Amino acid sequence: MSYILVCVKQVPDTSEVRLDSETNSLIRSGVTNIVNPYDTYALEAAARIRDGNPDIKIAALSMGPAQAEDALKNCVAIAADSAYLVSDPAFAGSDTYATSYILSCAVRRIEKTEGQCLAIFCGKQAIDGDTAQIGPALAERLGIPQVTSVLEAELVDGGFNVLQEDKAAKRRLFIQQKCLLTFTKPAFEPRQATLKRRMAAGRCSIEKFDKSLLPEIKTDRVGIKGSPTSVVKVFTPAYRGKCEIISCKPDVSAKSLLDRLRERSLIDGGKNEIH
Amino acid sequence: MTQLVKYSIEKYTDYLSDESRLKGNADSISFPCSADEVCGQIKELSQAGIPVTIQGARTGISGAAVPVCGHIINMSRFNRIIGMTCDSEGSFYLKVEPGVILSDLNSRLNMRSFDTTQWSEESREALKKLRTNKKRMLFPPNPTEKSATVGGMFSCNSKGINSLTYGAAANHVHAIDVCIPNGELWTIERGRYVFDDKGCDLPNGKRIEVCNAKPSSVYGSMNPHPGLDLIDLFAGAEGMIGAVLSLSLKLCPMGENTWGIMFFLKDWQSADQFAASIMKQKFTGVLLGALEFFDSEALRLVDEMKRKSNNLRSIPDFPKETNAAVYVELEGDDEEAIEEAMLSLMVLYDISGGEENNTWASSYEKDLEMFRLMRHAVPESVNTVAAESALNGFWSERVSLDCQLPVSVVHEMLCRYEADIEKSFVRGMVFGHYGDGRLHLELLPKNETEYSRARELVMAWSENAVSCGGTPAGENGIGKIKKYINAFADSDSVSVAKKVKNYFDPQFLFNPGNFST
Repeated sequence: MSYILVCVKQVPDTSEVRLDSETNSLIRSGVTNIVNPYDTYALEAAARIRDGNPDIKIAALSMGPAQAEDALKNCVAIAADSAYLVSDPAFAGSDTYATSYILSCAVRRIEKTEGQCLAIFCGKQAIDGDTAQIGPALAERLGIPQVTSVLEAELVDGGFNVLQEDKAAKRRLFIQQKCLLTFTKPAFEPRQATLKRRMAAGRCSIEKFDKSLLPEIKTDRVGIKGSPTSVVKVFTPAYRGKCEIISCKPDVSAKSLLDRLRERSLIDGGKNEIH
Repeated sequence: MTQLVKYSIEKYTDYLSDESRLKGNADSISFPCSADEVCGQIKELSQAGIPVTIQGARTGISGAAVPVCGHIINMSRFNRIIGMTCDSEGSFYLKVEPGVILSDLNSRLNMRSFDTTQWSEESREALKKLRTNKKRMLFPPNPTEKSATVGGMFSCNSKGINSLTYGAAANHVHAIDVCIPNGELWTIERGRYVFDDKGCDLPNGKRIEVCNAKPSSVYGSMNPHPGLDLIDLFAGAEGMIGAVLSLSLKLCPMGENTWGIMFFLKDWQSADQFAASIMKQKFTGVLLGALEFFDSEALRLVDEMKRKSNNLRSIPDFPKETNAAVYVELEGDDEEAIEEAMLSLMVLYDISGGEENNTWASSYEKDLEMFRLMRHAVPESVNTVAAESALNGFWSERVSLDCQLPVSVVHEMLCRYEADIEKSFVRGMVFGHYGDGRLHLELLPKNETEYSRARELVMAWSENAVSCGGTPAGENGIGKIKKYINAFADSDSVSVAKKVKNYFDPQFLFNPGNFST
C-alpha cells in the first residue's frame, strides 16, 4: 500500500488561553483543544497529493494522552484513512529528544505491518511548544532526508517537488522518497470535513500503541527521566517595547515611519514614494 | 464639581461613524466608567440642553450610534462584569455593565473565569455553584459580530443567527438599571412593570399613559402594546429614551453538542428548495439552531473578500460549481438524535440536487466560528466594498433591507427579490436568516441612477413586507439609515412613538436624528 504518514499533535487553542492573574498559570479550563494548525497544513498537503493520486492512502499518527484520539478522529474526518495513537503513562513528560525517539519506533512499527511509507509529513512546529524540533529529529532518527518549512509538495517519479519558504526567498527543491517534510502556512486554507466523513470519523477505530506494543523502546530513554531537557521556569517575559510618537505633517511622519521600519527590516524594501 | 469630562472631538473623529459608514458630527465625547459618571453627565447635559448620543462599540449597521450634534457618551470603557446571582430554581444571572464585549463575555463564561476582586461574597458563591454545573451556561444571542457590546445588542434588540432557538437579545435580559434623560436612575426587573391597554406603571411611582393596540408595528418597542414588559421598551429604543447602566443576563443552559453544516448547492433555487424542506422537517430531540441562506452573489462577494482580508483567510475555498449555500446548526444533548437529524438532512440535500462532497461539517467550536465568520463576512464585505468605493471616489452609498417576514412567505419573497435584482442590473444579494423569516438584502449601486433604482426596489419590498404582515426593519435597528420606514407607519404608530419619546425625553436630546425624532 502506498501511503503518506502525517504526524499531528493535539494542542490547546492558544488564541483562547489566558493567564490566571492570581496563580500566574495558564487557565486551561474551558479551553478547547485543536489539531496543531501547522499539522493541518501537512494533512492538507497529503490530501492534495491524494486528490491527484487516489490510490495513495493517508495515515495519521499522534503521541499524547488518550484525549488526543479526538484530534486523530478530526484528521480522519478531514482526510486520513487510518490513524494511530501512541500513548502510555511512561511516555508522559517526554521532551522533543525522547518524543522523536518514541515516534521513530512507532513509525517502524507501522511500517512493519503496512509496508514502507512514501513520506512522513509533519507540521513545522507545534503552537504550544514552538520548538520546530520533532520533524527534523524524527528524520534523523529514521535516517531519511528532510526539507523543512515546505509550502507545497507535488508527488513525482521517485520523490517530491517541493516549494520551501525561507526568510529571503522561496526555493524549489526535489527530494527523493522516502523523506520527511515539515509544512508551514501555505496560501490556501485546509479543507473542511464533509458531513459523511465527519459522521464516519466518529465511529472509526484508532489503533493504539502503548509501551507493550513498542517493546524495543528503552524505558530509560523516555518520559521525564529520559528527557535531557529540564524546564527551569515558565514565565511571561516583561514587555520591553517603547513607544515613540512621530508627530510631524502626515506625509513626513509616514516617510519617517517607513524608514524606521525598513531600517529594522520589518517591512520589505520597495519604492520610497508616498502617494 | 462637574462630573462631565469632555474631550474635544478632533482627536476622536472615528467616533463620528459606525459600521453603517454614515458620517456624523459632534462637539465633544466622554468615556464614563461608572453609573455615577453616566448619570451625572446626563443630568449636566440635560440641564444645559445639549443633545447626546449614546454609543457602544459602534458595530451597528443602521447608524443609530452616529451622532448628529452635541455630545457623545461612549460606553466602551464602562465594561466590567459586576457579579452573579443564582436563584432558588437554579437559574444564574450575570450582571454586566453595558460596554462588555460579547466575545469577552462568552469566553469568560466558557472558561468560567472572571475577575472577582470586586465581587460580593454572594456573587463568588454563585460562581462556585456555576462551576459545579455540568451544563454549558451562556448568553446565547449571536449577532455574528462578536465585538458588539452587550448594551448595544440590547438597545437594538439584536437577533442574529441563533434567534430561531433563542430569540432576540432582550429575551435573555432579566433586569436593567437605566438612566432616563432627566437623570433619574431606574431599576427594572422583568415582570414587574408591564403595559396594560392604557399604559404602564413606572419605577418612579408615576405612570405613562400610552399604548398601541396592535401587537406589531414598524417602530417595534417604541409602539408598546398590552403585555409588553417595560424592559422591552428600552430594548430596541436605540438609546432614544435613556442610557442602560447595567444588565442582568439570564444565563441559558446550552445543548452538549452543536453541529454546524454548510451545504453548498448549484444555484439559489436549489438552496431555497433545500431550506424550505428543512423547515418542514420535524427533528426529535434536536434543536434547529440556525438556518441561514446565501445566494450566489453573497458567496461571490465573500470569495472576493477572502483573498484580500486576513480575517477571512480561515475560510476554505468553496466547492467548485456551487453558487449558493445553506448553513444549518443542530444542537442537542443526544448524539444519536443529532446523527439521525443529520442523516435526514442528507436525504433532503440529495433531493435538492446536493452532492455529498460539497458539504462542510463540524462540531468543533473553532470550525463553528469559521462557519459563522463566513456568514458574518457577507455584510462585512458589503461594508468593505462601500468603503473602497468611497476611497476611490466612486458611488459608495449602499442600500440595505432586513425585513421580518412571516415564515410562510419567505420562499415567495425570495423568488421576488432574486427576480427583481436580476432585472434591475444593480449588484445585489440575498442572504440571512431563512428559518426565522429574516432575509437580508444588500444592494451596491454604482451610480446615482442605480441608486434610485435600488431605493425604489427597497421601498417596494418594504411595502410588500408590511402588506403580508411583516416589518421592514427586522433586526439591525432602524437608526438613521432606515428612516424611510416612516413611510410605512400609520398615523397611530407615529403618534404613539412620538408620545413615548416625548414622555421620556421632552427636550428631544437623546440620540437625535434617530427614527422617531
